[in-house]
Amino acid sequence: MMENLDKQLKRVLTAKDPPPEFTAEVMARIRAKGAEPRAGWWLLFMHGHRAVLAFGTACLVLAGGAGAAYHQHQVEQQRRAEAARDQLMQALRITSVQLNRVGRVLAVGRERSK
Amino acid sequence: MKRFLLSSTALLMTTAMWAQSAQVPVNFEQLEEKAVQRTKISLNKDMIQIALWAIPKQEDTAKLRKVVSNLQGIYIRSYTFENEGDYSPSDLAPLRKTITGSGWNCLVSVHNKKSGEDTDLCLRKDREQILGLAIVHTEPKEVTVVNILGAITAEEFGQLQEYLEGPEINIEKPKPKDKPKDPKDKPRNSKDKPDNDKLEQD
Amino acid sequence: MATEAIALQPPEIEGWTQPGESRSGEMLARALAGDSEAFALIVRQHQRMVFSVVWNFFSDRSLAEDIAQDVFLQLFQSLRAIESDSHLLFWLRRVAIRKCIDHHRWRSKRRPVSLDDWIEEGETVEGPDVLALDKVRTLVTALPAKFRAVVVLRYLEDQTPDEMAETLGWPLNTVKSRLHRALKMLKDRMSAE
Repeated sequence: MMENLDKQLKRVLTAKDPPPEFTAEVMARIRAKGAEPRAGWWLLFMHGHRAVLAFGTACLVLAGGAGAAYHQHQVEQQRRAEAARDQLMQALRITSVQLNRVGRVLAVGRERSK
Repeated sequence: MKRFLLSSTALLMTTAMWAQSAQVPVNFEQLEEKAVQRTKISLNKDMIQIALWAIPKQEDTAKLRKVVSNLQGIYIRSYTFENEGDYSPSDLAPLRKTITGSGWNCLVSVHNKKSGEDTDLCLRKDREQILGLAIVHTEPKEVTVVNILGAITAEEFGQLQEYLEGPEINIEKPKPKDKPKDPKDKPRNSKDKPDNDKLEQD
Repeated sequence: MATEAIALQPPEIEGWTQPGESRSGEMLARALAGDSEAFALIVRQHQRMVFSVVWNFFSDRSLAEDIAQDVFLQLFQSLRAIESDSHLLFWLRRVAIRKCIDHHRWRSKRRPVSLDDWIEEGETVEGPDVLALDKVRTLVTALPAKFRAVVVLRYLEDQTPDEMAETLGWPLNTVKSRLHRALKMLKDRMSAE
């Protein structure tokens, strides 16, 4: 039965390929975290109607980009929270190890004093 | 004269605030320079709150969330050295001065003669209220300092055990397969039962 | 602040690097120097292994994609800690399985596994085996996280108990005990159904 289970597990647990765009998605996420927004305030100082047109276009782009930027901000906040959570759990584990150390020695001492 | 009085007052207030605080000095430049492995975690109250966002509000996380939400800060410094004698006890002098000072009470001080390990567990209290704790563990090739700000008891830590089981987050270098095992080497965070023959107290 | 902004250039990490040691792997060195194409090559080289570990843990394709991507993002941040190609493999496997266990802990519900989730298009499966494999797959996915981890590492990655102990950071006896209990649990449940 065990041998049969072994064979079945080997057959079930097999390697799978991620989708073709997987690497590109990973690189895109890395770039998104590293990219910095550039402010186009210099456009406001252009002469003539081109400044108005440019400013209007900039506003539209900003408005459209604001939604994407907000979403990106939310994603970034989530990642910061998860990173902080992971550090917190690590810190608690290290603390637990140290407390257990003290606890073990005290237990040994109590045992010996009996 | 006025400026002198204002500066002195500010200095006294800062000193008083430090004395009130349960935070211990955790800047160990000498240890950092000499260590071959370092773990540094610094989470103030704001960062702990941010971490709580990533812990879902569920029945099975209730205990964890409750204990963590009472913490004001958690600071870990852990250093591993290549050789015995790479660090000096004097590197920890400012820390030891704090935890043996006013407002601190070291409940446990353990010294293991054979292994050269020392562990101190000290509480910072204001009358009966616990403001925080500090654990200082030293071995010939390792120093670990834990500083927790906030009211937390050993019992509450015990309640966190179910969340702390499982693989650690520290990623260690894999041991080379052809390296002979040194019987003196011990896993850093071993869950093995203590060897009663080796442990002794003063 | 404990967490730092993630820049395109891998940030300084509290080092695990021993003084005087040299790094092997041209790709690693180039990726560390900021060559994004080199890092992309590293991803392509190892994505199958990482994705497979996560997919076999959850039997959930989109979740496997998310977690596998997270593993490589974390690799990008931790590149300085990687000593060699073999260390890279060890690191990826370890982080992948840990993320699976951690994610399982945070999940409140388990999605029931269906046949469609794991029979890929173009994959041929014999009639009678389909039901048996489906049962085994469902039972594996229903195992507690720590048991699932050892089963995946044993049967997908062909790891020995010693290797699993290193990967998971557990004592050897714990690994052996959990593997034994996982297989017993599977066997008992298969007999019961």
